[in-house]
Amino acid sequence: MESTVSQHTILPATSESDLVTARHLARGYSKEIGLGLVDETKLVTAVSELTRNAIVHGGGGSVCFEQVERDGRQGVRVTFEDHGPGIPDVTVAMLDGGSSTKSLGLGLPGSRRLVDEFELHSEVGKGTKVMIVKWK
Amino acid sequence: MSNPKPAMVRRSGEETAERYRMLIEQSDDLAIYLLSPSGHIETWNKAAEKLKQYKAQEVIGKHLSIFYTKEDQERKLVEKELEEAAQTGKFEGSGWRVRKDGSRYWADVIISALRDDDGKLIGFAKVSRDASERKRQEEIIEQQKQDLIELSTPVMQLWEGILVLPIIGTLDSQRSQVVMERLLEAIVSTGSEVAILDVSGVPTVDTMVAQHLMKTMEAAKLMGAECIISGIRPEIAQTMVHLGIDLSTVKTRSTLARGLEEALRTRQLAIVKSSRGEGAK
Amino acid sequence: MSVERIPILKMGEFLLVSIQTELDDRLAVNLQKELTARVAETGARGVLLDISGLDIVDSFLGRMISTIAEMTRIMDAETVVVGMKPAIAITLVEMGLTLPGVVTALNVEKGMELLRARTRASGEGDGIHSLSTYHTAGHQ
Repeated sequence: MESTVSQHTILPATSESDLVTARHLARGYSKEIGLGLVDETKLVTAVSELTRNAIVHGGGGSVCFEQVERDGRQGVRVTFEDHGPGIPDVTVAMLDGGSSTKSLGLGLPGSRRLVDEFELHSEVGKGTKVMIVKWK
Repeated sequence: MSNPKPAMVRRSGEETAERYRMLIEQSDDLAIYLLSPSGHIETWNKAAEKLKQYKAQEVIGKHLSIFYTKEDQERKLVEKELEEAAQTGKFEGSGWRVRKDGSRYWADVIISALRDDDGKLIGFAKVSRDASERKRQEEIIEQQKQDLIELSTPVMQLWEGILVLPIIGTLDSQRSQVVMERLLEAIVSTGSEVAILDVSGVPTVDTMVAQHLMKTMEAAKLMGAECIISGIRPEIAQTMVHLGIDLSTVKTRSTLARGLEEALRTRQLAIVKSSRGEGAK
Repeated sequence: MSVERIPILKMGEFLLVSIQTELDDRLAVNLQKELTARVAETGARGVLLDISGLDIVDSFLGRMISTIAEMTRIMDAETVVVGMKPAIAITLVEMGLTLPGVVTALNVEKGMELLRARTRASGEGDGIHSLSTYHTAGHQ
């Protein structure tokens, strides 16, 4: 079912200072919908993880934050996009410790466990797009 | 074109239309009205008048958004709902709506797209119902559920540096999470290095709950505290072993008393019998 | 770019690192370098890594903490990580990052007791909260 978006912010993800900004934005959006501290920490951590992926492995990209609502439920949706080399085998990348790059080990499967929705699209040579949602 | 239409008792078109009109007119609690493709109100029934307090002449020709809250108007919610109905044939949802006098009610809404034989959109039929009472009940139940969870997970400080959390009743995933968070918070606020989770009042443990317990212990360990599980009943022991849950790194004790004994030992304390009856020191 | 640095304090035979600022990747890498240098320089017997000021620890920082602990251990200085917030602990466990091999304590005081106990029972790493040191440590 479609969810409605009430506000959004788009952030470039190219340098390490963007990583810090992304964490702050994630915190701000969590507070906006009144997430509990544990859920807030989970979302901020997932955002940190995936933003770093976009910067380090994707060669930079963008992060889009949205406050969404579905069936009267508030949520934060974050979309990470990069134009990097892409992930050849998504299934393997989603396994614990199954990534080719060592530092990616827990990044993808780990952040999936921190959020309520997780979608990953990747095309070799074109880039990777990850969308996560945390519901209140 | 010979569309396979459902077999029906044939009536004259006018008769059927009249019956439908009456049905809609007489409907008491379902506000039913037609909208133009752009979302402007074309018909109005009694129930709609009763629910929204507007008379037919006041609303016909007006846009549907007049019933929506200001925030929903700003978010263009009407347009989004109509678009979904147009695309998928039907929109179903709930939300706050505004009466003529400005008061709000919780509405259950169905918007169906109406198309002519060529498939062209000719408007929408909207059915809406006051579900405020149901919403209120749901909120009360949710609140009570929360209260109950809070009440049923008391974290107690049994001794300096020792916490006890007796868990009573069935643990579901939501409750396990609350248990976990409260225990960890209490570990910090009381500076306790040992926590005993007593599960003798828990009838069954499924994989989810067992995992929650394990996660709680791992989280406590990361914070610098240790957990002891006491009171694992035979059925639970069987389930846990069958589920393949690795308990080799977990301290378990048969009863709360034994758990306490172990906790005291960890803290280099012991309960000794006083020869003169002064009590434990 | 910030030229911020994490202060490393010497407390007797131990080093105290208290992270009170948001730890970005660069700061974390610098800390790792400086800390190992200081351990070598001072011959410290233990390191207290106070992370009570941290609001998040992602896999990068988690690994950084593990690495610091491992490096100092090789240099004969045990690292005790203290003050991890519950929300962070829950998040790390959920991610599957349980920092195996990292010794933890609730706060700086308890961490200090633990380090004293461990260095006293030196040689054997597994110094389970040595009985004799608990009370004396509390009255400093």
